[in-house]
Amino acid sequence: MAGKKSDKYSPNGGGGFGTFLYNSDTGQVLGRTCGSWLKITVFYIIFYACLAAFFYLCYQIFATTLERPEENGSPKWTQDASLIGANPGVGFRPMPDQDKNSESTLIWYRTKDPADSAFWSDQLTDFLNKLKVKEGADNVVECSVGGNSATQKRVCKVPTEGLGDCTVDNSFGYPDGKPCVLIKLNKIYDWEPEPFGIDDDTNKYDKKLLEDELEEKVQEQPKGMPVSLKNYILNEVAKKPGNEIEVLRSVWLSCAGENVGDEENLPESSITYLPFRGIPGYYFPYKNQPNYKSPFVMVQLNVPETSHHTLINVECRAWAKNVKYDRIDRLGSVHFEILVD
Amino acid sequence: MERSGLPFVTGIVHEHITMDSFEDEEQGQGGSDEWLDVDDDPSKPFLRPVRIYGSRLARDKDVIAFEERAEEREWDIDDHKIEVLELQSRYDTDLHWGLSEKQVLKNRKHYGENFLQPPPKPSAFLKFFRAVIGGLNALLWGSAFLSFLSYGAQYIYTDRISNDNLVLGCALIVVVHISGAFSFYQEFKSSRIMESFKTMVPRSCVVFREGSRAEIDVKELVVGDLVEINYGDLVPADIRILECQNFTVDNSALTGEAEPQKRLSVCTDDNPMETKNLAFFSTNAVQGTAKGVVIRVGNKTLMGRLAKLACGLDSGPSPIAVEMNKFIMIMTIRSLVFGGVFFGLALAIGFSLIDSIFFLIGIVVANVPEGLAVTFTTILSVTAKRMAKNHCLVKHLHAVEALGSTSCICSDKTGTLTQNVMSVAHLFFNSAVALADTSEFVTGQQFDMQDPGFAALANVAALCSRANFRPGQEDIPVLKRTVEGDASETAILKFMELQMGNVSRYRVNFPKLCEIPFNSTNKYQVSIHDMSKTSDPRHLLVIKGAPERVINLCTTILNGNEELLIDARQKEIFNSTYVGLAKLGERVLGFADCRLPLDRFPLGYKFSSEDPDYLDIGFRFVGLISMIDPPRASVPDAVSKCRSAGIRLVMVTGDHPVTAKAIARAVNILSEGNETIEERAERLGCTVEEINPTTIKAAVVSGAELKLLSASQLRNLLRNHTEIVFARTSPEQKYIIVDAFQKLGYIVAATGDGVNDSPALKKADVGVSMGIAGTEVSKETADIILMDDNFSSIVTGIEEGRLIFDNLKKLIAYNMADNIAEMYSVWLFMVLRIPLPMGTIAMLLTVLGTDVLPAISIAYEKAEADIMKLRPRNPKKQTLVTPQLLSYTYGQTAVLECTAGFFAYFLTYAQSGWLPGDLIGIEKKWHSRSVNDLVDSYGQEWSYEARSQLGLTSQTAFFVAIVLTQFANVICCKTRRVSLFQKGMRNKKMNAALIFALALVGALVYVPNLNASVNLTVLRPEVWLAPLPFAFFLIIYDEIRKFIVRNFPKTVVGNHLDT
Repeated sequence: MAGKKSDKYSPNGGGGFGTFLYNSDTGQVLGRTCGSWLKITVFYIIFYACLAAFFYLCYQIFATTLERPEENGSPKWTQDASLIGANPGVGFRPMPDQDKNSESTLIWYRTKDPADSAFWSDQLTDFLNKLKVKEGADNVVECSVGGNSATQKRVCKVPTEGLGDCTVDNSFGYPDGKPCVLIKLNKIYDWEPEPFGIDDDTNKYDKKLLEDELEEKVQEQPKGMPVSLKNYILNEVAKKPGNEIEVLRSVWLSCAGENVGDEENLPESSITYLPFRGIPGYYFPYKNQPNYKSPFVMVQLNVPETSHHTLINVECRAWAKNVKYDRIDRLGSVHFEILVD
Repeated sequence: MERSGLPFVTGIVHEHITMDSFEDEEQGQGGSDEWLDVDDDPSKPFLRPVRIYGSRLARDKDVIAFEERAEEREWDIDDHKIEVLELQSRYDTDLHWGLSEKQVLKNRKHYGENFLQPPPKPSAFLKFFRAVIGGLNALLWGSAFLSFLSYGAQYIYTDRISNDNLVLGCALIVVVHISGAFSFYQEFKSSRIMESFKTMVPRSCVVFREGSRAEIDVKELVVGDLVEINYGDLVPADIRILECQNFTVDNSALTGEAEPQKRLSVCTDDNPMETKNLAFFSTNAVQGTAKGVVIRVGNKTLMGRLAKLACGLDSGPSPIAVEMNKFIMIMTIRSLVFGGVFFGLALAIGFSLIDSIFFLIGIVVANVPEGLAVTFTTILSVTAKRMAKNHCLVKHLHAVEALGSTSCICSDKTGTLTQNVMSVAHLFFNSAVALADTSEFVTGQQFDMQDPGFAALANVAALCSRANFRPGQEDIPVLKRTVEGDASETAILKFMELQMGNVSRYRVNFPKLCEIPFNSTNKYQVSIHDMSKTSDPRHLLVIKGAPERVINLCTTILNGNEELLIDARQKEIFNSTYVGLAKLGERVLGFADCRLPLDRFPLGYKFSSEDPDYLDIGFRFVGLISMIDPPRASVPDAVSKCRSAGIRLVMVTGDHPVTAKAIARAVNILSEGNETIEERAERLGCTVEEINPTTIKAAVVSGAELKLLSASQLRNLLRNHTEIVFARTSPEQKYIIVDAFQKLGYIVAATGDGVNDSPALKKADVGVSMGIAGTEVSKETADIILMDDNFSSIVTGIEEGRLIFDNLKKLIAYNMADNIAEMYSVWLFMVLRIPLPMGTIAMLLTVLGTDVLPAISIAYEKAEADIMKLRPRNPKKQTLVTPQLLSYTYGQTAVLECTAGFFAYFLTYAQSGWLPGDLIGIEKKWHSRSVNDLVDSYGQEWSYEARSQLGLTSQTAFFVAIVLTQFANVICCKTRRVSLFQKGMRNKKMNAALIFALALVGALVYVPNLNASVNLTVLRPEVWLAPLPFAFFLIIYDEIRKFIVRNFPKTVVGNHLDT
């Protein structure tokens, strides 16, 4: 564009910023009189009040389509319809300090340092304390294979005994270099494990089918079901004749060193599952019942002396017919590291 | 914003110029007429530096600077003074044989080639570079740099590799290149149109080299060449004339002198610009032939020097560029302030440095309207295209809006307001004045040929003429044909051709026996015709010329069938008619005839033109014909449009004040009932001094008077008179007038076609050149070219320009809303610690994807009211981005869109089990990869993977909500004041753009892989409904807002809501 002088456009003649802030001649503050500021403020209050009311109204209308969680309602969408899916994730405790590093999954402590151990064992103590049944919680029952199981209203008590070394008194084995890690399954509304070895047509237990299906899992690449777990399952089933289906409704668990080196550092024999190598089926389904507590498995890692000062990657996998596994997306499994100094 | 009240005129008149200086020039002079005053009008010193008497200190710096440059213009050569032989040796030429081929090469090497070096322009690369890094793009570069920085930091300091920042950085760089390339292309395209102009004039000239005559390309010409120039040619270089016959050149392009100039072979003046033996490069030879020697070529010619001077004037930013710069400043400061504040806040709250940088980028990206540069340029070029259709070629896109802001037009007269052809306006016969149609499109007879009075006049007019149509034009409408002859004769010939059908056939019947051509002493032209083919064989003598001369040769006057003796009463009628027509600015010619008595002049008599013995017999006066360069038919309408649009119209012409005033009256630049001080004095019969000058609103100021005014007096003159005509001005004075208007705060559009107009064109905010009559240099300097040279095209341009200002405002309101809504989402994300509502890539998708077409479609919005009824905008108060607009976008639309976004966002979460209350404060755990069992409102535990899917879904919901409310927003933006129901959805381009944008969002959300690549995911159909209540809320609210603005514009709130 051609020869225009910019002085034409100099800011609104004189005054400057000071005058803009407060103009003593006109009593203007920030370019307006107080009266007009007031009017504009009133306008905005009305505008925002209307908008807020409209938002609230819309939300209330929408909320009528939801069930209320405090009334044991169900989420609008569940399982596959919801993004949570029908494939529960696996969680572990204790967890590293989230405030220090929210991305870390490393359990690292010095056996000699009681404070170090306490950081981890206290988390487990807290967890177990929360499992205590509240007074007046009348829908909590003792469950067993062949006995009670969870229903729409009723939930199973999660036992805190039978955990071997993994007790509060023992500080969960941390000071001894045999730390316990609590493994639990994510609660998914209405989800139930699909048992192995059940004939789809007859809905009956079939030993042959069970063995075949487990073997298939064992053969899975790159990493299949540990043979020990297969045997454990077969063994457990054999123990409860007549209640095979009940037993098989469990979600089975296996933990192992993630890579070959990790397996050497943490041999399978040094891993103990307490009280049971899985989560029994009677805890399912989760239906937002009051007083529902997460069942769990304590996994004690008897880290060999030789593997101290070594970082060991541990992967725990949940097994059921409808638990899918994906290592990258951490489906049906959980990963943590352990380093005992 | 208020549009009422005249913002520019700053109150009371402090000083009034004495009107004494306003000598009534026109009263003395009758009509301006080459027949009357060809020689008694000494060539005016147009090229001398302008002297404005008065304190030089008090004058404005740039006017002084300009004048100093004007002094440089004094051309110090003596080639016109020295002896021819000296000239010959100086340039190693031979004035009989011409140059030898060898010498041609030598001289070319020594004196240069003969073409105008175009002014140095920034290279294409530099322009592109500027487009890519300039303006808003600089901010984007900044954000891209930050993105890479944080990617790098992430890469180095954490093991978590997220490509988001890398992708964002790359996307931003792609964006700046695309938008840069786009605006570069637009400018490039319009400059290409200019290139084509240059090639449109292939010229050649006749040159003598080594004794033989050759026709060569003008570019081949060198100093020392011997050239021949014929009428109709453009002078190929600066020429010293050696010999000539009746050679006349039209210097108007160069000097602004309206009248053609006689050229001679002798030096008449020391000043090279005054002397008559030089002809200048690119001027037009209108008559005769000449032979001369080339003394200057190319850039060293007078033309070249002037062109260079004009281009040397500095260019400032256009009004819209000022607005854009302001806007960019606002955006930059805001995004930096917001970014900085939130960066600090994030650090203070305890976010990691990397996360804080991420917020910083988010805020900057959300704050910068990335798509604005592209849509802005597109809107300008769409309008420019539309203007081109209306014969208004826009060279610089920014001029589109500048034209809309124009508050004052300094217009040329000739060719712009007028048709640039002489045309018969009045006839006087049978003792009465008759009006002729001067419109451009007139065809057929206007008068009754049976009327004996008219027939006699027509007969004289047809015969007493040396003008002829060039042959072979029978198919062309009479008014468009080319005529050999001067302007007056041409006008009469065309008029007669329309009356008689075929003048040349008519003339054949009456062969011309003798002729006295016009000369400046006699001021008449006589021819004698052989009438032997008619029943009355007496010779016919016809004469036309200056009316007072012609009537003095007459004894009788024809009135119908009777011939009356010319007595005092007849003389009185004649005089008053003549003076009356002259006062209209018309060129008046008198016509008379006579049958020569056979006794004195028998058949076969030898008539002599040197020694006429037939002038004393007493002729019969048949009438007067007056001619004028009539205004274009569309101009009065355009002028009144300008006037109602509050635009001042000033005529600045080199013409005589009387003619200028007459045309100004005819086209209403001087409106009816608005008298000049002289007119009122005459009407009241008193002297000029007795009139109260403050009551006078119209003025006609001549260049001579203008010279006597100081800069402040001139400004007062401009302030105190609403209607001004500047006549007899030099192009330099046009510059001064433009400057004075600008000093008063006007945004000035100036038209001009001559080389000397270039400084004024450049100085003006919008320089307007003429596509047909304009010189290359003026087109080069201008911002806009009127392809049809028609003033009314400017008015169309102004209308478009005004519309575009409104539309740009709408564009900004539209484009900023989602940017700000997105910024709010980042704020709330940080403050409420909720999962991320909207990713940066999604932000870019709205601004650069779904927003773009609807934004461009705003350009096709029709004006919502009669914008030509409003005053021009006040560049200080009515800016593009007003506090009201910011309040509207930041406080209203953006908040609403953000609310809609959060509604969709919370809705998605709630349906999956996360009620809003449980989301607040959850951000850290939510985004932590190690937390694999986060509990929702229903006690379900979510793995990281499931959470990120849900997060993506709600981000998509937020994105869709923003896009859908933006649809509502663009519908709101269709009007600024008028109700939507009144406007309707008739903008087909916008409707199509909305449908396209909807399809685009659909594709982004639902096409597999595409959605994943832009961090979006599929949505349940009902989520699309979530933002709709808010979209309707927005439309309804905006209707209420417009209602308040329309009905209570004066209230605080009403004013505040008017963007």
